[in-house]
Amino acid sequence: MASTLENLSIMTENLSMDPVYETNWSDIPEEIKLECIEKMELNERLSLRCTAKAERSLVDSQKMKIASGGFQITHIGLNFFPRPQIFKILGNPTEAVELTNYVLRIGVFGGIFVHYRDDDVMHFTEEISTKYIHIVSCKNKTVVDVLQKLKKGVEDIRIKAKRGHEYALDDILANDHVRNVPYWHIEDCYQADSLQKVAQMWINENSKIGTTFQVSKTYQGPPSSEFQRIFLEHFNDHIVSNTGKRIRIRTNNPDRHILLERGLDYNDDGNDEMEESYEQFYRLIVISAEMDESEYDDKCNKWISIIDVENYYGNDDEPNANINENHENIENDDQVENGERNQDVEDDDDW
Amino acid sequence: MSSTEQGTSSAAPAEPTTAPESAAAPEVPESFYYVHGKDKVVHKVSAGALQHSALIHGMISNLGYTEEQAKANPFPFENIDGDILQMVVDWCNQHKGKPTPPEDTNLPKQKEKLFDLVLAVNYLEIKELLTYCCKQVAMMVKGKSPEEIREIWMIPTDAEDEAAEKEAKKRAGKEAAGETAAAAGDAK
Repeated sequence: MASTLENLSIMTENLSMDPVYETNWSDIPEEIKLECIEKMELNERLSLRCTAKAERSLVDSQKMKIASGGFQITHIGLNFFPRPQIFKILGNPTEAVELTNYVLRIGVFGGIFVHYRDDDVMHFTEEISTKYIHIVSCKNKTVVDVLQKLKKGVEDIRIKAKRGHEYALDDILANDHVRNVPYWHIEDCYQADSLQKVAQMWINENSKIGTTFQVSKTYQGPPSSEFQRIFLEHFNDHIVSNTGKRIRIRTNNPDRHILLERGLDYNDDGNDEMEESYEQFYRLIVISAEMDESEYDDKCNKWISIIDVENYYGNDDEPNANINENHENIENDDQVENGERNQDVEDDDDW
Repeated sequence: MSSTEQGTSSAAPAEPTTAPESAAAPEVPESFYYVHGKDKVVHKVSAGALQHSALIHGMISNLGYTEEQAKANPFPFENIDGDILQMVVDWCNQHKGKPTPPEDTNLPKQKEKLFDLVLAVNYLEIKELLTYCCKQVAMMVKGKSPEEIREIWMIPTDAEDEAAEKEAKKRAGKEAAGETAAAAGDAK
């Protein structure tokens, strides 16, 4: 075969002096052109779409699988695993907006990272197709805009609120994707009512078992006790059990409960003021009403590491230095069953 | 087929079920068909090799031709150049009954040949070969600028496109006017 084709190639080259064949790109049917475009890398697609209007609309109609995309201040990075990733340096805001929206238009992403960028390039006109989105240190408008642009099918939403941006939580909670996503979190959360609002939203939506929301708060955020106090106050008549570590509440669906878990315990000899300023992690999860307490997941490092990957490891056999070794001591749990609160629990200093 | 190939799940050795060689069913001789392109050169291709082409496979599946009938009735593909059909036949023979590899580097590099091959393969509905061809087409413009792509693939600019469209409209208008005048002359 190889030699036959080589011979044919040589023959063709000889014949090329006399142009018998005139077949060109314009003779190729559109569906085949699209298959060719599908096999092109991004740079070639960008070049082809600049040749003519017809090619532009053809190129723009062909989707491209992108393992992950990062939209930064100075550049866009696209990972085409297993093919190498590429970086596009952004020359000016106009180019940045154009390229961002083009990539969003054609890209079918596994994951997207939107980092803090100047306001003038935060202009998303295209729908975003991704399973995972991580919005890092963006302003409230950007967060809400990006969430609104998401297409169906997002499974994981992560919002990193560093730089002190206080988000309009109600706008975020009004988003359909947020209401239905299996996992989401807010890192460095300033909204102490977030746990209560998310739990209430899940009750209203009758969210599925396993639906999870996590928050972390740093020393800059509101005191840890505020998150807990607001939650307890709001769900006072829903309490199933309350320990120093976990609060379990009923929902309107008799098959489902919601469990709030606190991540860290501190040994500061009762120095509450200090403790209030420390970082803290909370996890809210929809569980089966049948779930026994012995089935609780005691591996808090594992879920904390999802929200703070820099400082925590997923391995609970190697506890982090700043976590009390007895942080998951549930032997002293006090329980409230059937909605009757236990006074001892209410007086628990932790809550 | 041996009992092992049949996938016996029991731990105990299965009783051999292989029939004695003498009783084995005789192999069915492979059937051949004949195709020719624009150059009328006839190519003999096995039915197994032709399975790659959904179009031809569909045509021959219920024919039941004898060797003589097949020889006397080659499939004419007048729209395919002879050397392109030769390439297609060679590829089908090469990949007869084999899984197709992820890459095929033996495709023509010359633009016109490749585009002709694409059109032929698309017409004959040879899915795997079409995939290779499209990959090869994409490779032709790797690292090229818009201007270079336009030149390589002879893509007209928007201005050229518009001019050609205007010209075609003008021509169509003239032809229509001519026909009307002729019809009026006939009526007189």
